[in-house]
Amino acid sequence: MSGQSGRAALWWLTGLALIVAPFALGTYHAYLVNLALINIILAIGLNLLTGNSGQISLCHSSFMAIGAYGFTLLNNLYHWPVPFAVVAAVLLASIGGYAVGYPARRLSGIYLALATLAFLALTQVVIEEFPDLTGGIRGLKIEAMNWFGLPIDHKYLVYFLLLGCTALGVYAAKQIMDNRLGRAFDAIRTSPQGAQALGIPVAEIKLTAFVISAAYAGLAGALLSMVVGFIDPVEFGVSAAIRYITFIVIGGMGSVAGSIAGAVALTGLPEALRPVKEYSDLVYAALLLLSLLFMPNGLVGLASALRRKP
Amino acid sequence: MTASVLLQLLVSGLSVGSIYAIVALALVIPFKASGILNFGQGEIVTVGAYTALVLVGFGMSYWLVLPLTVVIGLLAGIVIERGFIRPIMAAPEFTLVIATFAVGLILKSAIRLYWQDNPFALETPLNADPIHFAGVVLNPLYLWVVLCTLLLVVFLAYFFKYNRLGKSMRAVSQSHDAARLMGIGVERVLMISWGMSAAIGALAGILLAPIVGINPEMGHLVLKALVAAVIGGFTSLPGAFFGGIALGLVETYSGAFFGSTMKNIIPFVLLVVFLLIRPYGLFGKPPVVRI
Amino acid sequence: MLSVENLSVQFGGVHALRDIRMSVERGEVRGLIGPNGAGKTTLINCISGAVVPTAGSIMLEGKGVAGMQPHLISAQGVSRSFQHVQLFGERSVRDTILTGMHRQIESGLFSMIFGLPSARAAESRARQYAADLMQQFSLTDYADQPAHSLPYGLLKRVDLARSLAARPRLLLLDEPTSGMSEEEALESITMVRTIARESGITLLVIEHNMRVMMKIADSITVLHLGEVIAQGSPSQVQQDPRAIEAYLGEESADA
Repeated sequence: MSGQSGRAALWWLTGLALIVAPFALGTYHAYLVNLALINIILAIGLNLLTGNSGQISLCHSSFMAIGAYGFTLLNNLYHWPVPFAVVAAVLLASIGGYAVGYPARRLSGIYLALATLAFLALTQVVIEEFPDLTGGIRGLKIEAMNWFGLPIDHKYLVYFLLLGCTALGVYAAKQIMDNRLGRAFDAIRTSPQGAQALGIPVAEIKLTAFVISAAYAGLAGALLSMVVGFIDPVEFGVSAAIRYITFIVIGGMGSVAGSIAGAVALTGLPEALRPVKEYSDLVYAALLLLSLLFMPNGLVGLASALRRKP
Repeated sequence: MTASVLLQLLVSGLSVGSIYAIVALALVIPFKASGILNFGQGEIVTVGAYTALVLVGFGMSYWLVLPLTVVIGLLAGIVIERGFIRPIMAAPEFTLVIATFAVGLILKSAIRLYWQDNPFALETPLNADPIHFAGVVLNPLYLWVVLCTLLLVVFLAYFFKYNRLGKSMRAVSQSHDAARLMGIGVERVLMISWGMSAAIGALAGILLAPIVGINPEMGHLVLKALVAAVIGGFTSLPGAFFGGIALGLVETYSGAFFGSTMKNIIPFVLLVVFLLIRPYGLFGKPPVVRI
Repeated sequence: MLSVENLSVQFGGVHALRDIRMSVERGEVRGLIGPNGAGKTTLINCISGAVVPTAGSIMLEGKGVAGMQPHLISAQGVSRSFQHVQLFGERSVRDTILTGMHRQIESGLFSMIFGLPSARAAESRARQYAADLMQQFSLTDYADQPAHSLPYGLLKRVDLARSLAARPRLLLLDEPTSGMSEEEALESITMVRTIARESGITLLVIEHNMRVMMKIADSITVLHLGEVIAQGSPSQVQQDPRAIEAYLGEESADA
């Protein structure tokens, strides 16, 4: 039983470390932790859609964009209090998820990939063609945020909001996977015919997966704009979409643990690559390719394979 | 809207459409043969453009650089097929889609590493003064693109109809097993179809280079070529051609009548519409489903 | 409760089913036998919605279901097993069975995500029922193992348990005992029949194992080349000359 209590101790330690982090770490490392948490939220959402319900999506970054611009505009133009703006951003992104998921629910494979690519291209066009609203390719700066008028140093607030959202995201995903929705996701991925025969409404479930994953991405987008203070549309293009897919391929598709592993591991990567920043896209793409070929179950799969070997 | 303006738009529409058509053909050929859609095709176009840049930098004449680029493209395609595609052919669809994206990204970042984002121009004998004809101003570059596309299409039509290798490729497209039974070396045919696809992509690159300039993001047009292929139907070569031309024309005319925003949005709206209503395009056929 | 009239299915030039007429009473155990290629699976596919018939009607408790979408037919209370067991990736035996109960578990999206009591209660009720089923099919020891790691015979039992988990009114079984030993087959199929009797489930079973069929079926329909060639009680069918010929014909063709 020491394995169990050992693991529990690890959780408590991680939790403690996370709570203490913003006070103990310097600005730069605190920023990295923030980024890792955001990436975890992104990865979990994408994994539910692709790893579990089996739908290829190249527009995850677009849902993130909706969340980011939604939050920033509500903040800049209407001074909504932060929590309300975040919730609104999530809702807007979910609507985006519905807009893509609804027509896409009968598509699969490359046709689905193309449909999501079309949405990605469309959002990029919209971002560029309405610069008065979105700041165009120059980006959008976030203005002073409204924490119900309280004069608190928002750096800590942002962190704990982020931590809370991540915890909620992890919890919600685990709940989904342990309940009938998660089972339905796995069923429609592995055997749509079998799932239908058991009464699972495949198209409806696929749509639900899109909406949920878009919500996660929208949340991540809103939080990212809070943390960085600035939206750069380059974060929402094809390269970014591939990067997020890399999180789940390398971490392990289909599990929450895989999402966390991949997000954390790959948040550290750009930092490790800092001295050779120009190589970052190359390294990402190469890692992605190698992982697809040689480590199809990701880090999580590697870990359980190692555990099985005596 | 005078007739001459409409004619002008026709020419630019046709030339844009020709590029789309060429790249769409480059997408459809290996798809028919191997069932794999190469999302990295755009980067092959980019490689073609940079190859031409390098060769022209050596002082070679454009008329030599053009065929040489195409041949280099052919070889590159064969190398890619052997090195990257062959090992993953049996993988699930997700892996294939993402892997081709990854290969494209690797190519693009490698190019970016060496040349950075500096734009380059390609000097060709066709960067000449516009021709005035029937009140229309014609850019010889555009005409050259359209001519090359037509020649390519005629070549392909002949190749697939009469040439033995072309006929083998058609057989492989229909059924690997049946082709094997007929004694066709399926692996060799697959290799050649990827080689052809890269050669065609490289051709598009060198044709596109003088028009839009050479930069690492050139391959972005693959999105439009994908739209063209969906419109035409992924399983149809004539479809890819017509899809490309049609898209080029629609884009150019809607840009003129409705403004640039509409011009940028329309291809993707078309894509979604087709995916929903006619995913197999105007000329494509749905795959035969075995129960 | 199930009434099939003039059902025909044509694939290109091939008549998989030709003018099928069949009527099954509620709570009945109907066997479906016939040589390979007789159209048995096609008939099941029509009833479950996997195949759209070219002509004819299928009435389920008075409601026409021919051509309906499979999950909507499921919603009418139809469940089925497959010849090749459909598994769900890495999911455990327990989860596989629970997937069969998807429609029955009443938990909405929000209550699920936030772990609200209503969702928890629905899930634990489902787990209880799954545990009962696993016990009845002697699968409890394997509950947490990934289903794909099980040998074929056990997988068939999981499939049976899963199709029963949905508490259907009509259960379609496609060769439920293939791959099982004689003993296992008899045991499993008897368990299915017991549960069916208790819950008033109507069974339509495709079987090649004659001993099993004769033991559990109330009546049998014999298919050959897409047509019904005999129908009646097991003993009647056993002596029917056309049925015998169809099977003997197959045997001599194999010889």
